[in-house]
Amino acid sequence: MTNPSHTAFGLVAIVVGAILSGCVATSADGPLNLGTDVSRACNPLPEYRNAAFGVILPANLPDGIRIESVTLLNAKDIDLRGLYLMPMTDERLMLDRFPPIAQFPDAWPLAIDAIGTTLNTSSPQDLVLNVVAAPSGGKFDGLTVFYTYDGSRYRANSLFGLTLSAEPCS
Amino acid sequence: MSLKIKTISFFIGLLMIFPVAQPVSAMVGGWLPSIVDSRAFETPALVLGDVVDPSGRPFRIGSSVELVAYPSADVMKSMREGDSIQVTPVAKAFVGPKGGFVLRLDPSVNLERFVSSAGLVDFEVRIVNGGFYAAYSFSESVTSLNELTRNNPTVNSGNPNLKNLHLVSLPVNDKVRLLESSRAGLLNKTDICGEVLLSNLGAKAVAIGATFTGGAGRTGELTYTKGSSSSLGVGLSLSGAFGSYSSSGNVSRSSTSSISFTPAAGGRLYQTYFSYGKYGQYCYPVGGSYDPTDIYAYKVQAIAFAGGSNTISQSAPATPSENCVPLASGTNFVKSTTAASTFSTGADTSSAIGVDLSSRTGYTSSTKTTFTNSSGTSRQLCGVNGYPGGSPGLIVLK
Repeated sequence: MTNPSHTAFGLVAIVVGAILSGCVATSADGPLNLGTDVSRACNPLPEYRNAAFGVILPANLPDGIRIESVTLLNAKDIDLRGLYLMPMTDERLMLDRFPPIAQFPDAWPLAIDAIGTTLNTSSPQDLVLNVVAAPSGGKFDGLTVFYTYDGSRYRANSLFGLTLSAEPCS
Repeated sequence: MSLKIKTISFFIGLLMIFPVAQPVSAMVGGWLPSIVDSRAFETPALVLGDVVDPSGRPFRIGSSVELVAYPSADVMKSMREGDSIQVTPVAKAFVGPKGGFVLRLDPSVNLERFVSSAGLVDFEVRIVNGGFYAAYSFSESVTSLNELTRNNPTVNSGNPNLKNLHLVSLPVNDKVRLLESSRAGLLNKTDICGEVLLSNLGAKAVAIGATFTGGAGRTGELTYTKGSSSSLGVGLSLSGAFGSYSSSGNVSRSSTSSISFTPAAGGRLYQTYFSYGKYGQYCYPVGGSYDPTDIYAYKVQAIAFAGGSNTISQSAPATPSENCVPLASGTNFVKSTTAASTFSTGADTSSAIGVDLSSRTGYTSSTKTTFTNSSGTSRQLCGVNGYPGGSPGLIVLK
C-alpha cells in the first residue's frame, strides 16, 4: 500500500521541480495583448549595435500586471541585456541607441527596471529592451513577455522583430 | 392553372398570412433531415450572429438558417458561362430570440472535397423569413475548420469576424417565398440548390495595399507574394438589376504569382486584378432540373486571381501624433500584416453592377509593405489606427 506521506512528498517535489525548472504552464489568454501583426525594423551597423528597442504597451490595461521575464523569439547573434519601463510621452520608442536619451531626454531618466515591477496603469509606460548585436549583426523575430496577473502566470507574444545588419537593409 | 399549382399557391398564401409559428421541433424533421440541428453540438460556433429585416426588426423565432458549402475555388475558376454547380448544405439552425442564431459544424461532416488548393472552403449562410432573405458569404481555412470540430478546441477557435455577425435582409421575391415554403415542411420536399455562371465580368482592378511617404529620401513599396490571399467583397441582389447589389460577405482568393511594386515616394494605392463573375442562385425540387426561371437571387463575386499591377496616386490619411515613432535615417520598416485595412470600395466593379465591392488583403500575411528612410535625418512613421509596430492599418512615413 502506498504511504500517503510519500505520495504527498512526491507531489511537492514535482511542483517544486517544475517551478525551479521554469516549466510552470502559462496561458496566452491574459489581459496583455501585443497584437498579431508581423513587423520588422532593420538598421545597418555599426549604428544601433547597442540598441534600445521599444515595445509599446496597450492603453487601458488593468491594475496588477507584473513583468516576470522577457525572451526573444528566434534570436540569432543578439543578446537581451536589460529590460526597463519608461514613462510614456507624446513620442513612442521604436529603435534608438541605448540608452535612448537622445529621443527621450525627459522620460529616460525616470525609467526603472522592468523585471518584478507592476505596471503603473495610472501613468502608462513603455517597455524598453536593451539588445546588443554581434559585430557582424544579429536579429530576432519577436518576443514573449511573461507576466503575472490576479494570481496567474501568463505570456504575451509580439511579432515585431529587429534586424541589425552589417549589410544595407533591403 | 392546374389544381396542383393552385394547391401549392394556396399553401404559400397560407404561409404568408400565418407566418410559421410551429414549434422548432416540428420543423427539424421536414427540412434537410440529413443535417443535424446545430443545437445538438457543443463545439464552438462557426457563425454566431443575428438577423433583422431592413427596418431593424429581428427575424421571427424559428426562421430557418442554412449553411451551404461551395465546390472549391479551383472548381469555380473552371466554370464557363452557362455552367452551373450545386451547393451542399452542411449545417442548419433556427433563429432564436432577438433574431439570434448559431451555426456549428457537425464533426462527422467531411469537408475535404470543398477545400481549395489554398486551403480554404467557401460557405454561404442563407436565412429566410416570410418577406425577407439574408445571405452572407465567407471563406474559412481548413485548419480553422478542423480546430472547430476537435474535442478540445482552443478558446478562440475560428474566425472572430464570424462571431458577431449582424445581417440585414432584403425584401424577397416569389421565388424566395417558394424556397421558404419548402423549408417549412408543408410541401414536404427538399430542394436542389446551386449557382449558374451567368456572365464573366472580366478582370477588375482590386486594391491590395497602400503606402504614403513624404518628400525626398523616403520611399514605400509593396510586395504581393504568390499565395497571398485577398478577401473580396460579394454583392447580392434579388433582381440582378444594375445598381441593386448590396454587400453580402466576402470570398478569399489567392494569387498565383508574385508582384513587386518598385519603391517610390508619395501616396500610392496598389492594385492587382481579379476576374469577377455574375452568378444566378437557384433551387428546384428533387426530381426536377434547372430552368433559368428557378433563379431567385444574383450574386457577383471574384472568380480568380488574374495578375497584373497598377498604382494610383492618393493623398495621405490623417494620423494621430500618438501613433508615431521616429524612423532613423538608414532604417527600414517592414510590415507583414495579418490585420490589413479594408478598402470599402477597393474592387472596381461599378461599371458592371453599379457598385464597387470591398477588398482586404492580409489573410495569410504574405503581403509586405516596406518603408525606407534614407533622407539623412530621422522621420516620423505613423499609423492611422495605432503605432506602426502594433496594428496601425495604413502607415504614413512623414
